[in-house]
Amino acid sequence: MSDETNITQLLLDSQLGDKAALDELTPLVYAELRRLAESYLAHERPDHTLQATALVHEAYMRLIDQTSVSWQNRAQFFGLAAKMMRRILVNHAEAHHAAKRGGHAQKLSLDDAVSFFEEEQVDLLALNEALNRLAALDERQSEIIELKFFGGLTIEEVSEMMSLSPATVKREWNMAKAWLLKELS
Amino acid sequence: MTPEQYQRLKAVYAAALEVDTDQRAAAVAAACAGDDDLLNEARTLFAFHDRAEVFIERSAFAVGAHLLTKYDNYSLSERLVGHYRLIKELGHGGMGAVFLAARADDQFRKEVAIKIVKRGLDSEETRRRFRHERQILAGLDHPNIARLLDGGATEEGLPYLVMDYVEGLPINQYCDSHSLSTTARLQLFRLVCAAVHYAHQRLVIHRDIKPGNILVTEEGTAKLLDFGIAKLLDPQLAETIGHTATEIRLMTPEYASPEQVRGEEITTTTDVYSLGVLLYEILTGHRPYRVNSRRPDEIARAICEQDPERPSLVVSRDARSSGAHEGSQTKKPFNRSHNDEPAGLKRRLSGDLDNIVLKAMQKEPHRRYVSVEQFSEDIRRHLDGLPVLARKDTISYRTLKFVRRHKLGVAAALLVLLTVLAGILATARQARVAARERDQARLEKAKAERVNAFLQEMLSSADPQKQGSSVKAVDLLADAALRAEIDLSKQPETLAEVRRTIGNTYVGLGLFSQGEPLLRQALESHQQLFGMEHPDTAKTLHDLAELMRGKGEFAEAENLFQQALAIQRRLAPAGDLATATTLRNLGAVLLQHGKTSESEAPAREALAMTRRLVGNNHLNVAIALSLLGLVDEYRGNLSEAEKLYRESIDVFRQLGHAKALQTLVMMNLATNLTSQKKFDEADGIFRSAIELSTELFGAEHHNVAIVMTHYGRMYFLKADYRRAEEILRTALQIERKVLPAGHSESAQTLVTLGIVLTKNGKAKEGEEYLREALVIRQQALPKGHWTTANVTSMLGECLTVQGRYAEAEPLLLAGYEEIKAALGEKHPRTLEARERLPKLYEAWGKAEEGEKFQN
Repeated sequence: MSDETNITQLLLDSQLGDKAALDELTPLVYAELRRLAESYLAHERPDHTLQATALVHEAYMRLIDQTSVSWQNRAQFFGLAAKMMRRILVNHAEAHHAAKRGGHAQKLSLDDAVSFFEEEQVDLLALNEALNRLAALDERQSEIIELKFFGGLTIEEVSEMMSLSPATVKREWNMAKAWLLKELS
Repeated sequence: MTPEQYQRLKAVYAAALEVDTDQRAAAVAAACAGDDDLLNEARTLFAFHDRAEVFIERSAFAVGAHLLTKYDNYSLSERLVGHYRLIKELGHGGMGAVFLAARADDQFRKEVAIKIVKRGLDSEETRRRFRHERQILAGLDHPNIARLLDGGATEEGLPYLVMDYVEGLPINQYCDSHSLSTTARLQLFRLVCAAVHYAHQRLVIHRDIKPGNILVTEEGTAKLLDFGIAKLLDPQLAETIGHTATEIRLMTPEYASPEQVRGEEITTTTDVYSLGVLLYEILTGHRPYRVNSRRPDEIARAICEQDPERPSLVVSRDARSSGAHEGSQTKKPFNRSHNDEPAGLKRRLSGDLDNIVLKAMQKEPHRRYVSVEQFSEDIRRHLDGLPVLARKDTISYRTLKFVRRHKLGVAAALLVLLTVLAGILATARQARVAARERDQARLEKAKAERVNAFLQEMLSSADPQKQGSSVKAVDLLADAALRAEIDLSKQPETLAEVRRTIGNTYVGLGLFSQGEPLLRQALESHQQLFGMEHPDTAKTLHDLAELMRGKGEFAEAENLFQQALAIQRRLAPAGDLATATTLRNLGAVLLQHGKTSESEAPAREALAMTRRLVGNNHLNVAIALSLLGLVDEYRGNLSEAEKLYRESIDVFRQLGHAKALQTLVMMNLATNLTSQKKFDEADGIFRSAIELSTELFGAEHHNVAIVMTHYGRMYFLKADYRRAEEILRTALQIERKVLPAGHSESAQTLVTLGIVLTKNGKAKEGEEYLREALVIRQQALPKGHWTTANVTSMLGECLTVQGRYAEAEPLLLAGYEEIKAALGEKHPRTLEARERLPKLYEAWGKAEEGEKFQN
């Protein structure tokens, strides 16, 4: 079965709110993102020089028969990529946490992801939970956080993706951040 | 905080941002308009607002992407998972990867397969599926199913399953690489069927049967793998898993059944279909559908609409084009042993095997084999040179439509066998005895023998010994009905007789709706063959009437009995045994219908006619006597009834057979003695009835439960409620096990237990049983029947005990009135119902209301 046809079909389904289809889409997107991330990172240091939007967009272009998919699918695709990043990072943090408890911290001490969150002073596991609580109160705000923080989009890109004005996105982003920081304190 | 509060907070936040920082506090206070909680929230939010400026501004995408690459690069190989060391990846699918692994602490290095969720894919859905698969596998232990050895979670929390490592080839490749003959392929395929059937018996449907999930080892053992999207039929064990749409995409579309493609209900026949596709491929080397696209929707359309080519046709095309370039994308290397060259193969497949494969692959589930076992059995018949169920142009599949799965075990199958045989023998005997002419007798006997031969063959092919403890009576009967349609199409008389016999067997099992179409068809055939004025037509009318009696449609039953009787009287003005039987059953239905006095005449006539024809020593005499006993019992003539019951039991004892019926008459006698308050004598008879019926049917049989129910009722009447509760709970336990929920036979037990619990101070629990019984009775009996009214009255007592007087009053009044109308003023049941009324009013503090019900 060709992946192009399949992923278009799946994405059209997920537009209809089929959460299960989204779950299935994940491995395909995952594989493509991994492949691209590898080539993007092949000669770079793993810092924020990585162009998230370009990477995800390329993955999207490769996976989708562009002509038969509407604009909203693209937004959804970015949403999916952001969710995936969030999940990967959270899983990693959980594993690290478990290993530390089990006394294997040494094995994991040289870890870019761990040092990133330490530098940024973010407790990722706590943030993840607070973000879940936020989603229950205001889904749009939690999506904005997801797209920007985990998905690597800029305010402008998020506004384009969600069909909102940049000013609105900025205001939502700032309020959500304040609320999350309060929750983490 | 609620979403609404959060939105108000957002409005305050937006308003405050409109003004300069130094005026913000005032703006916040103004926007909150005296809502102190909101004000506090807003103030806290702004306290964090400035501090949050740099918070999460730097995206984590890059580190995530980096992790993503690292994870799959540092392979899981050489890692320890539980007690196992991973050796290499064997493959991966939608959910995770499968690794070859070995026990780290095992010097023999026993190899296993470990399925692990891939990192990043461990969504809640995937975890649930893993749990589900583990739960399913844990319940399966079969030589042809890969075993679950262990399971758990890796140190990162990724779920994994440890299974038998099967080193082998997918079944189709194995067949080709070993150049198996068609016979060897069929035998191997039957091993797969055995595994799938085993899973079905444990209520597991595989749903993804395809060559890749069936590996065959070098030793030729087939192993069924991957229960990843299997479904549990038992709703109590099944976890809700995913979405049908998901399952389709998780499975290989080429092997999906039409109902899977359409997202319709999945049953065990879904696996029958996929096995059919698999057999098609094993036998021909081709997939059944010719699709030029790989698009899922194209494949789905082919599955739902295209008729697969007959396997023999497909291989004959191979024969013509052999050596030439093959354009079909389904073509794969296909090697055969010497004696299965294409032309020979065509001959081998055409006929039985074509029909078998295509029957399994029918688009409509009810037209397929009803079970995998039946499918496999048909292949065995073919291998043994016996006729098969699958036929190209079968006359009618309608009979299959009413087949429903029932959980009846071997015992039931044997019961069927006995019932059928008894029916045949009786036919032959009656034919001998009642014949007016020798020729007629010979004709009857010959017909009975043909029916006998047919059913014998049918039943011997389903010998429980051969098939393990899995013969389902209902499947057997459905097979028999289907076979009859096919094999007897040119012998309409025998066909009608077989339909009648099978229909009666369903009736014997209490499966009235399954029996009805067969009996109606038999009646129709008899009318066409012989006209109305014929003993066979009358007999079938009688049987249909018995069915209606069983269903509780008494008026219809009475009407049919009368029709049968009219014919029989004209045919044999002096009376015969068939007429006597109709008379007796007419009496029975009249009694059941509450027409007690009308029932006496036919019952007496049946008794006299039987005695005149064959003397006193006959089953019909025994049954007619007990029926007359019941008539007297219903009229309140207890000592008359007692005499008749005793007479009936004497006849049974002399007969020495029909012991099952004997236990029921013994029960009637004991119940009668109970009503006469002769408790000690009743106790003894109850005990021997229970003993006899346990001896006949085993301890867990509803016949035993029936007697126990009445035995318990005696202790209730004796006011020994503890002992009554004990006995009745045992009876109910048996019934819950052997009868389907809501079966009319459990009503009596429920009622009695309900009232006993009420007396034992457990009225709340009792109420549940009484209400359950009331529902059953209301559904099973015509409106206003006295036994329903009796439950209503007892429920009234139960509510009285609970102090719910206002609810109790209408029930007690209605119950009493209805019982009185049906049984008369003096009947013990009427008196009991009446006594409950003054008790209610006394408890309610309205004693004067109750006075009119005092004697």
